[in-house]
Amino acid sequence: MKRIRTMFLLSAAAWIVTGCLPLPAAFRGHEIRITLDRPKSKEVIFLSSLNRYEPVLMNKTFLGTWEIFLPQDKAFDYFFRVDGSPYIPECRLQQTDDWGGRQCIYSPGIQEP
Amino acid sequence: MNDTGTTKTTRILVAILLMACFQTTAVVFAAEADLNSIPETLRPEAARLIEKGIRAEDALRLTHQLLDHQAEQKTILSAYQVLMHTADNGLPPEPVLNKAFEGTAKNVHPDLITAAMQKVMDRYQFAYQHVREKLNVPKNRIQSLGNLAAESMAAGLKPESLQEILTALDQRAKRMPDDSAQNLFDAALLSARDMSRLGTSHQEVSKTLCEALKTGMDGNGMMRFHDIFMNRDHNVGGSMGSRSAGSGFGQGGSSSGGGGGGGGGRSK
Repeated sequence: MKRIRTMFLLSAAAWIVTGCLPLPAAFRGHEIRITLDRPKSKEVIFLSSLNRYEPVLMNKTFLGTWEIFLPQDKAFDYFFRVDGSPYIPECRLQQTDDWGGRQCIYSPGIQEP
Repeated sequence: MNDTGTTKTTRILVAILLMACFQTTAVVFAAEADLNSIPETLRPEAARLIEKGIRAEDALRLTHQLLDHQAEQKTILSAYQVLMHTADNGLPPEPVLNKAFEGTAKNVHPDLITAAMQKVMDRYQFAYQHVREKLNVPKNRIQSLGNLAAESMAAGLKPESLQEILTALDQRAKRMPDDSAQNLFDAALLSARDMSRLGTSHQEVSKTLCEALKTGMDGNGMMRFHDIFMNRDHNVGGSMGSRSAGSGFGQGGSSSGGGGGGGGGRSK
């Protein structure tokens, strides 16, 4: 009984502490894969409203496609920075960016072609 | 439980409590300490911004990013003002903050960033006000409907078209039970937003939705319409529909699993 109670309390403590930590990608369930074909580019950065537009370096596959995996269930606006310059791809869902340009949108449940 | 067990349990509980207290204190001290990282002249206004409910982390980050982009202090204070008005008017600060961060990420001039933040706030103010005035909705529903309306406007729906849709919705809702009307509001504004995001002209969005409402469409019918519209060949409806550049989406598994699906660029 004592052991069970101690185990329970330790689990509760661990749950409270680890609740504040981000989970690894593999634990986040289904994800979307976003790609950009820029085989000659040296660096492709993904920027989105998911993390307040903090730059995230994309991974380059052996075919030269840049890719990133993101949670499938969250809506976000996004664009890329290719070798230092902003790049907004053609995308299905869009909105104005309020500076005369546009912004791509990912919306869960709405199929990208 | 014996004495040893009780002591151990108490110790564990005290440890958990101490950890929680330590974490809270650390966060408070961190916010105060970080305010010292911005110019002294900005600190009182930054503190006010935090008092209004903007997270310290966001306020400081915004300040640092604008300073990194050589923003003058009056520009930063204008950005603070926009955020404070947003909070004072009961509007969500997230879209305004995101606009600021989007601007710095795109290397937009700080004055233009502040102007865009103001535009976002104006959109939300207009949307919330008209949803509140035109639709008979409980207070706790105004935010979600207002957000949909504001997002529609960001995607190109003009204020006059939004007003037409809201008027048609109000007329239709008068002939429906209240819970059915609430479903219809959600479905219609979701359709307005997503049609606009697909590049459908604001006149067409308004015309399509108002006609559907006049024919007596309910929430379920509107949702079916939305799903059909979103999944049909997108070249038919929208001028922005076609994709040609090399970016793509695919259904992923997990990052460790290599992802599976498509993307790969060309999609038409």
